[in-house]
Amino acid sequence: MNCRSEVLEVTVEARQIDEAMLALLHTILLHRSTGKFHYKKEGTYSIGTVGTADSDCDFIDFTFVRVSSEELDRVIRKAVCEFKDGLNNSGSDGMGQISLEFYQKKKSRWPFSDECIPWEVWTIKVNVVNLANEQERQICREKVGEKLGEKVINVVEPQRRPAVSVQNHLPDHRFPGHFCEHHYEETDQRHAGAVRIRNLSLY
Amino acid sequence: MDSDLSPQDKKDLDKFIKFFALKVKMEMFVLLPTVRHFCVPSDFIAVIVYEPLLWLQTVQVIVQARLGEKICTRSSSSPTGSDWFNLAIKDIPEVSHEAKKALAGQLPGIGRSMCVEISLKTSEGDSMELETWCLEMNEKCDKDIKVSYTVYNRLSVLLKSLMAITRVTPAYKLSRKQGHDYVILYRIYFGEVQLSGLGEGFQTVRVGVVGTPVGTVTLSCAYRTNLAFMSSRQFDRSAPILGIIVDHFVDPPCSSQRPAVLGQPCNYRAPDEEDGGAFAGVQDSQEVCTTSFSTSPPSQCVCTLSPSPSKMSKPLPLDSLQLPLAPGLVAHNMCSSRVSYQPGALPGAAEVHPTAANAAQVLHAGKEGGVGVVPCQPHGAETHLTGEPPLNTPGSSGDDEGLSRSAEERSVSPSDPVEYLNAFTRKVGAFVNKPSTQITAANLDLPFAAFAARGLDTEGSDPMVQPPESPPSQSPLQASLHSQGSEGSGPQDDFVMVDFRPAFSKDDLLPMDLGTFYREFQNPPQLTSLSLHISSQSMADDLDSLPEKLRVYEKNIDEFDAFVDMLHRRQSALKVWSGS
Repeated sequence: MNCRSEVLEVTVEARQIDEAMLALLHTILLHRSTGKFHYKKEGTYSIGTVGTADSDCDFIDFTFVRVSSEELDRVIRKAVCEFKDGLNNSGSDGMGQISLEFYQKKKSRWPFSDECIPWEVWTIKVNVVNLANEQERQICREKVGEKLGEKVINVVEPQRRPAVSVQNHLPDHRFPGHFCEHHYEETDQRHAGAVRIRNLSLY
Repeated sequence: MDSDLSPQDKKDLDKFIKFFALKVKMEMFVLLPTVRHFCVPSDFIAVIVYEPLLWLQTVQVIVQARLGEKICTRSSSSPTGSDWFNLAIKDIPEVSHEAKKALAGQLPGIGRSMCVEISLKTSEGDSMELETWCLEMNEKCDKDIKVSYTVYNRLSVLLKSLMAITRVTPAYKLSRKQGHDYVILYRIYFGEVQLSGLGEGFQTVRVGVVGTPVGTVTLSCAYRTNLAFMSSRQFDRSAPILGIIVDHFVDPPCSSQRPAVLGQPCNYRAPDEEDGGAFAGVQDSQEVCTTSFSTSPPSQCVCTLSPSPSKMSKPLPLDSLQLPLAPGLVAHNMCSSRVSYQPGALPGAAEVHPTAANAAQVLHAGKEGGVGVVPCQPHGAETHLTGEPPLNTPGSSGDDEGLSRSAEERSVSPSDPVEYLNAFTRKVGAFVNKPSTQITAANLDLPFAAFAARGLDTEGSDPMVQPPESPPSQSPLQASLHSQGSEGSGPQDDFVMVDFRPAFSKDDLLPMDLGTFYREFQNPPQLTSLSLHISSQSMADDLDSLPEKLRVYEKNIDEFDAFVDMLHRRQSALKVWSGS
């Protein structure tokens, strides 16, 4: 399977899980989001515009850029919240991972179901630590901010390599959902199945 | 190339060439909406069209990331005329103008890198380069790539990566905190990238690489890691007088001693909606400048531009700088809701920023918003304290009284700046050694007159000149301050006793000043708990209670073990952070 896999590992405090996950997931999705395709006559089309928004973290000394879409933000927050709850309730020693998977949905003929072929998977491993006093929390706040910055650079680096789906499949009417298209104007323009967030093992 | 194109493509290509030739003459960067319909234009032409747009958008993203504000743009399903690369990037006209000016009518290309330098400038005039963003193109071509979609999409991804990385470098946090202490400037230049100003150990990060049929575009950033700021002042410091460093009242070095190009400030304020959203190209510089003084040197005064001095505009950090303008640079007057643009004429531009160094008079604003004028003496390294303009801090209670007195003495309404300029009362600083022939307390506007001792109108009774006799003290420090034991020494000799009268002390709470209080309570009595008799009693009690304490500790031994384990875990976690 030609699926590109990237792994990011972060060590955070319990209250920083949300923001650290959001920062990385939004950064990845920013690079994988495009505007809405408007098909016109004569085989031409135009692409909508993606807006961006800065988000400051409250518990981490960090600011990240996300796609300016409340709907997308809600979806991501919900997934992160579920992951965090699972992490807290699992009884594991504060370790778990969450994955963001980009896949291509290939329609199959009856009676076969549609085939989901992932072409890129981002896995974020989380290691949660407990801190006692405020001084350590302050150090943690700054350190995690620096680490997240390094992770963002790690996210950006693979973008130099073209995404497999872009290289092999130019915009095609059959596969409009190469990228996550959650972002435009609150209307339901999302192509379900293009992106999946999976909570993998909590260990 | 023409034989490979369909008739529709040929038509589009002709359209492109005509349009492009026209636009290169006029503006070069505005294109018809048909471009974005991807009618498969010639790849070569398309790259030529996209390239300058990429430079412009790159500059916009970088500068906007250093404005010090959170950026938020809206997504749109229909592209507008200015949304290139499918990204909603705000277009700041000033930045575009600077970028176009730096391009100087030529297209960027191979061997001609575009660099955006971000630097920090303090209110004291010191500057430091923080980072340099470099967009360059080399000769390595990717001829098989399709420009119409793939290259365009990759350039869009490149700009997104740029947005993400601009929030990661250390300069971003500094830019978010810019204000009165320092501002962030940017400078655009073409040619070889200059990294010498970034100090030792600077880091580089590659934002992205995009191959095109005419060359490979590379965007990278080099940022400073050592943010320890060293002052670059080069003027001499005179010996401190009375513990006050004289260069507080000395202006920073003149522009000739500074780097030739400083750059533009990154604190643009968008025009209000009431202004029609239009950028006011040229604003008149006739607005009155109101300045509020602090006890800091004149170089730290904050200058605001407002239609009338009665409106106390929010002071902006740019205005606190004395920006020496090199030829070709643009001066920007930043107001709370207006941006003014001045052409690069140096004398005119320099006058826009009335500073202590350049202006013969500096405006002074009182608490009521009035405007006064304090003439500045010519500054120099050898300036002594007499005749220095007073530096009052509005807002302090002591200053209120001083300022109100000065307001009463002046017959001109503070709301009229011009008349206020003409009617001036000279102010004297708190620690000035006042010559008796020139100034008396009767006609002086003393800023701290409220705290001056009563009936000290003559120099002989002036505590600053003739300190009162201090009570006898056993402290050796006190003896040295008096300097009465030295041979032939007296108040008029090289060592002057200064009665310690802090600027903002009040007599309300205690019937004595701070100096007297210090002298009297220098040798407090010893605490009774430290006496030998009591300490021996406590030790006996401790020994008696020891067995009971041991029993309690043994009972809770499990808790202590768990605590020690937690400390070990935390220590290993800290090692992970510091090591990784």
